[in-house]
Amino acid sequence: MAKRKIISGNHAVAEAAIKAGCRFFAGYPITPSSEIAEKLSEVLPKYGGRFIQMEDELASMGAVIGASLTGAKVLTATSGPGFSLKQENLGFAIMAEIPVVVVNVQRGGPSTGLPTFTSQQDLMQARWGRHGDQEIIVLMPDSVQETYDLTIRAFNLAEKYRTPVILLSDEVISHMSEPVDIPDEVEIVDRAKPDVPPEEYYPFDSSKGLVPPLAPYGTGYRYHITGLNHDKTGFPSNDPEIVHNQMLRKLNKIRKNTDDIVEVEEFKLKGAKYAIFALGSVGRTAKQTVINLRKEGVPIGVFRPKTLWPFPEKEIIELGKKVEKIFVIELNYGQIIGEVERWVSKYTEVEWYGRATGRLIPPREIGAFIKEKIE
Amino acid sequence: MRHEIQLVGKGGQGVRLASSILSRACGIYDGKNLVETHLYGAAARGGLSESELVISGEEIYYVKVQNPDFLVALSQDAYDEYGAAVKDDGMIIADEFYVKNYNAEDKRLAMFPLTRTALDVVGALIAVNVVTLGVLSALDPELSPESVRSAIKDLVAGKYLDKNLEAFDKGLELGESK
Repeated sequence: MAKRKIISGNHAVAEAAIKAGCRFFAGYPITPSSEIAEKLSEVLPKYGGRFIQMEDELASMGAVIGASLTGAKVLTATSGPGFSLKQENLGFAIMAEIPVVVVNVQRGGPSTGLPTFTSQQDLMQARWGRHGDQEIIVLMPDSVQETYDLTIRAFNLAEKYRTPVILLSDEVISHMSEPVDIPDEVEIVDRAKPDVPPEEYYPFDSSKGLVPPLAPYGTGYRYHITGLNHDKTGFPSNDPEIVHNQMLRKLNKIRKNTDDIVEVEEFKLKGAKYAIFALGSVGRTAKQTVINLRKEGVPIGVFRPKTLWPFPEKEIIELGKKVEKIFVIELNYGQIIGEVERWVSKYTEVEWYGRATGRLIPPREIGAFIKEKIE
Repeated sequence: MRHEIQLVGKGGQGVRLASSILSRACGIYDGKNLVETHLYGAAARGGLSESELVISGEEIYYVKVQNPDFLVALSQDAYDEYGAAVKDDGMIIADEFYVKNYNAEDKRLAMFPLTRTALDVVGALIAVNVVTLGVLSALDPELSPESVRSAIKDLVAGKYLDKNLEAFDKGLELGESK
């Protein structure tokens, strides 16, 4: 029997992290993400876990990377300015293929911006905030229940693909409370362990497939980890062929598994002539807008990626072939519109509406914009 | 049906706790769908504190209040900034201790001695939130006073509980007298 509770989005992250097996959190508090750290500081020790408040976001990102290398499932949470500070070590985790879950609760920006208000201004930072070529998994929830579910999924994907996963929430979703059903049993994925003895183990061995097993430090497996390009042993290499092959493997472990990683919600899209593209909290507004517009006879639905990155290319192309117009609604000044156009402008028209004032855009305003564009 | 309640006051008046109590009453004891959201500034005390509840028997999509059925205004700013959006047949429950300038001809407006009652019953300003919940529970047919009472018991710490329940009952009386 699932247990019904009323909790906030941030507390849902904390509860789901425990459920997913997370036993280590390092972070530095920042609005609007602080309740995640606050809750885990109380709960983690009861599960034999460790909570560390570090001196800043750079160090906390380093701490979770270190803890993950011992085999622990790890989490850090932050917002806006803190997310900027985590980027360097996040790039290291991508390069060294270390599973970590990073929660970024988006607030107004740039810089310190609007600490207590919502935005969706970090969509591209989540994708490209680090230097260098890379793939990253980014999930975006639109409810407290989905925050719970996607947090568990974030841990599972991080472990399965040996990679950082970002849960991209926003101030509205993180601070709002809703009833959620806490399931007794959830599917848990644990990272693959080496099937060879320490003397035969290589941490970046491409012959083991796209995701070579990661041995926990402290279990007899000794290996090198570096942010430099490296060969299968983990030691630095400048050999073009080795660099190329290792890079391709790191990219392809995500690119070749998009069917497994990508999830989208389609809301009343069957037979729809128009679609709203929305993410996170805007998804809720978009669904209300669709309910309102359909009462007026407008055949419209919502396309909402739960997986923002890797981008649901195949799914949006399918949508583009079916509808006459896609309305991209964002809490920013034009970010994901470029990505949507990149995939569908060949097939359909794209219109954009958005702003980042810290408040959600109400359904009546979005409805009015859409009606103006289809008349 | 979508039902919207908005609670607005200053930081320190217990607006957040009041909205958590209402959420629990409606979401757990009455088994309804609800979304509770908040708006606040960076100030720890004295700044605007606003909580919103959307309650429905059906799925709730848009999470914010648009035209409240009930607005609780615990400060002049709350009344001034949020009064206009209340539905024509909605109700504004205002605290006569803080809300001094108002349109006496507004049929939606009901003035109550919320802070005064908190001081008289509990001897503490902070109980104003629970007095308010009493008034609101008496007047809003969407709320069950028994569910709200149960939620207060869950969320208010032991040694303060009796006084809070007393304040809640006093609020119920105030509301029923309207």
